[in-house]
Amino acid sequence: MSGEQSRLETIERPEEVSPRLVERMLEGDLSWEEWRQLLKLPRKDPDRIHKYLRALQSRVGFADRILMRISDHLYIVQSPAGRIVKCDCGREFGDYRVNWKLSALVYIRDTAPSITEVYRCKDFAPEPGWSEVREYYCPGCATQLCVEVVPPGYPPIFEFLPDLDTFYRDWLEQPLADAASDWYTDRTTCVTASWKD
Amino acid sequence: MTPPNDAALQEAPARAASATTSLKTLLAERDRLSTDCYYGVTTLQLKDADPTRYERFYSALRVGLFSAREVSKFVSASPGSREMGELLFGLLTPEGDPIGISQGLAGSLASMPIGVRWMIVNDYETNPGIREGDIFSGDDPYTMGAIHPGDCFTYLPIFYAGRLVAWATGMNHIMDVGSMIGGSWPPFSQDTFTDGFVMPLSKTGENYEYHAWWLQVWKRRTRAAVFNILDEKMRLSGCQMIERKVHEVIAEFGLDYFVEGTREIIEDGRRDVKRNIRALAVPGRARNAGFRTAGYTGVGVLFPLADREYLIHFPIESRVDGEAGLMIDTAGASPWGFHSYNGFPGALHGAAYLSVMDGYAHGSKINYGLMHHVQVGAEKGSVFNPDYEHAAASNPWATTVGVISGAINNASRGFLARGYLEECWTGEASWDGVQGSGILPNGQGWGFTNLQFVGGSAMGAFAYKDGLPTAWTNWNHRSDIGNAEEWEYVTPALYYIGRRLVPEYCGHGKFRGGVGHSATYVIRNPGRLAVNRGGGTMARGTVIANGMAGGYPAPGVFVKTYHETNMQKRMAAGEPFPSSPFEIDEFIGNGQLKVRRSTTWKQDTPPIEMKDGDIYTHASGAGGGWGDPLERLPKLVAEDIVNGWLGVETAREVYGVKFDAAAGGEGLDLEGTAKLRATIRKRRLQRGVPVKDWWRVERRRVMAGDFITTVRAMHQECMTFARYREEFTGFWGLEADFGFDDEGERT
Repeated sequence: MSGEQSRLETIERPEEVSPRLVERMLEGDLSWEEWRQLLKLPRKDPDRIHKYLRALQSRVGFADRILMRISDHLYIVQSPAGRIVKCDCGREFGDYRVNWKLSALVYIRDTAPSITEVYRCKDFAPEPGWSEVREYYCPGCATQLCVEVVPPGYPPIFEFLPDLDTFYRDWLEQPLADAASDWYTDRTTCVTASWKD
Repeated sequence: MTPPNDAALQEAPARAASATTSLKTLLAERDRLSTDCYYGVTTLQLKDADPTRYERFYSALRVGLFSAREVSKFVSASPGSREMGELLFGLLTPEGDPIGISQGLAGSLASMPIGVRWMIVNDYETNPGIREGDIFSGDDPYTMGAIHPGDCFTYLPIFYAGRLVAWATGMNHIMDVGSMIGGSWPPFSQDTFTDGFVMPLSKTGENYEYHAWWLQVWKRRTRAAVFNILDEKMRLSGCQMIERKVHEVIAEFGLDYFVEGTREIIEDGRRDVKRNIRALAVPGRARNAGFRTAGYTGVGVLFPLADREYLIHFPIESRVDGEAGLMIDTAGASPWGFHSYNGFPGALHGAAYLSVMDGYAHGSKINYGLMHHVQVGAEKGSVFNPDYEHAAASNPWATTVGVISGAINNASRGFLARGYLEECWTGEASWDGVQGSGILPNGQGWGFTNLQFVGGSAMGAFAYKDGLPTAWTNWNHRSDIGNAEEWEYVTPALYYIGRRLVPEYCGHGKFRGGVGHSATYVIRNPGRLAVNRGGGTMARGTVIANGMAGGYPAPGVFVKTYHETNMQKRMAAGEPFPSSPFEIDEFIGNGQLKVRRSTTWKQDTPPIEMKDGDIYTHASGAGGGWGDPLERLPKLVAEDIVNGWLGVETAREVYGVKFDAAAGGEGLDLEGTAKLRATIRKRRLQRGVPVKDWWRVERRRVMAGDFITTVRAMHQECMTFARYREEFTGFWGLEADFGFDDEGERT
């Protein structure tokens, strides 16, 4: 939506979602008309994920195989260390079964002046004491990866834990080589337990 | 109405229930056969045999539903129904399962099976009897799944050749529900006895005519009898249109086809939703959460059980399994309390299904099939499933709307993972409604709800474009806020002096949410008038907790009241007056507007007496952002400044964009922007703390319970449920039986 709109494509059938179109999508180069046509497709192109993963892989500066994109800049990749979360800058966030926020930097806005820097009007700014604004940054590239607004003491929200093996084995029919029964397990508390003094 | 003597009647229906089969028997059979597929429909025989005939059959029924809505709403006098379309019609199986619905308040399809099941299980067939032309009405959240008592339902059994073959139902949101506090979503209610006029389904008419007593009840027990009675008649006329259409369809297709076809339609709908989940989602777990305050401190003079502050927590976890099953689970939510914001399962289910309609129901037949496939979880005793049948439930939509938003955002995580970026967006929406009651100078008592901000809110950002303002609601896909003039004639003391979009009122991001809107009223000749607000998340927090991909969650709702002003003088003199909350601030600042006292409400207002010349203003409907604001194209930031949506300071601090306001449209400084963004990134790395370090400090705070009492109470109360206890104690490395000393029950 943001780039030059010089190559308007006609997308009326799933087969017309080309690899190049997916690349342009990631480049932010589609016109609203093209997005709209994608929205109106009678059914989705089932091989989108393959075109998508190939395009994503070509855009990142690392060789680890991208297994899944989980946010604008974060991917679950197959690395020598196993399945980990990785930022497109190359920064690693560890085992994908652990909330990636634990490996981020966090900045807390819990005073009225700091909160009103981003929610500019005090009339609609979340109130300190009741809410704090947590900004999570990538320690590698300083990208703001997530913002959560929660009461103090609320455990960081683990926003997405995919069941990769079921997806690859049963839905894509391309099982992962390291499939195991414990990949779809939340291991966040194992890490915080290790942090205790 | 006598059904036509058609060929269908001449054939002995083999598959349809006989005239003597009781509804209880049918319901038991339906339950027995509805395990994986619906009603034992393992193959879509009618569809497979002749898809054109099958789709024509469905279309005919759907046309009946659409027509019922579009025509009958003109029977109503309420702008909520007539203009905005805050209503819904449904066609149900004899057992109560929606076969199809009209456009409108689609989440209320969740209520329909609850109401019919209640009548069947409680043997209404014997007493009071269910006969052709009987009318059943009610609005009780507990027994009939109404989202809140402001949602009133009318049911009409449809008979054909002496047997009950379907139900027609219509619902709409009424103007006043006869509660202790005027309006339709009383924000203060201790239990169902202060929720207002709460009526389980009752036989309110026969031979297609309401009993006189029922209309007298509307007159005596609510403050908006004219509107509510016409709404009742609207619902009945729509139901009769549906009945007529069903008779026509059976005459054409035959009764067997009707019975089999409607079951196939439901199973077809179930398969569509399952197919779409399989096509778009990823097996796994996505999470979000919402929080809502309820400031009840001070109500103890009358309601000692309710005299406290509440912070209501509701997790939203969407789990997709390998069979493309979907569970939307709220386990770990706050316990129910003595406040308005509890909801019985109809409210939660309606919200959850709306998120599914948004994400996974395209190309499908919206009906019970969706409900059959999608599981919705609420622990017994929680705010969405009280274990006290008289718990208040006057405004659960204030919280369940957050479930819709959270579940839409959860679904977007799957879309993003699979590359369907066109479907990715942040579905955040809040809502608001000014309501109240009083006595006009001519002695006329009245109660009202202005539903405009239920009719439209901004869209959250997409993964590729900004959200639009005032463009949608996730509970009514025919979004419309209604004309101001329409509202003025039913709220005669409240004159609009402005409807404006609110600058900066959005979640920022690479793509920002649509800006929210405000409405401002001056009070003229009110007689005696008290107003209050019913609505969603207020601005002590955000609409939903977890933003999307680095964007900020949308801010909540605020209300401002101004008393003893010089507005009468200004208006009499033809002088300018403010039209938005921010213009009010400017007018006060430059001395044009004199105000003796004012209040900003970031939590629900109690009833506030308003007098001639007072001003009421409120803002709602902001959308959430998507992505890191530093990635927003500078030219889009500049456009926002030029359009008045964004201030130069916000552009600098949040977006890292340098803009010289004095230069107008030429003020964008690209070189300065690049440098500023580099500086902000450095600043992030300097001020950001490794989460491990933050955790160690914060853990000590958690162990000491160093929070405001209400936050401490929220944590403590949610830990009565294992799900939150495990999450909270596990994350902070606490003993499994950890608790705060005072339980934080009182402030």
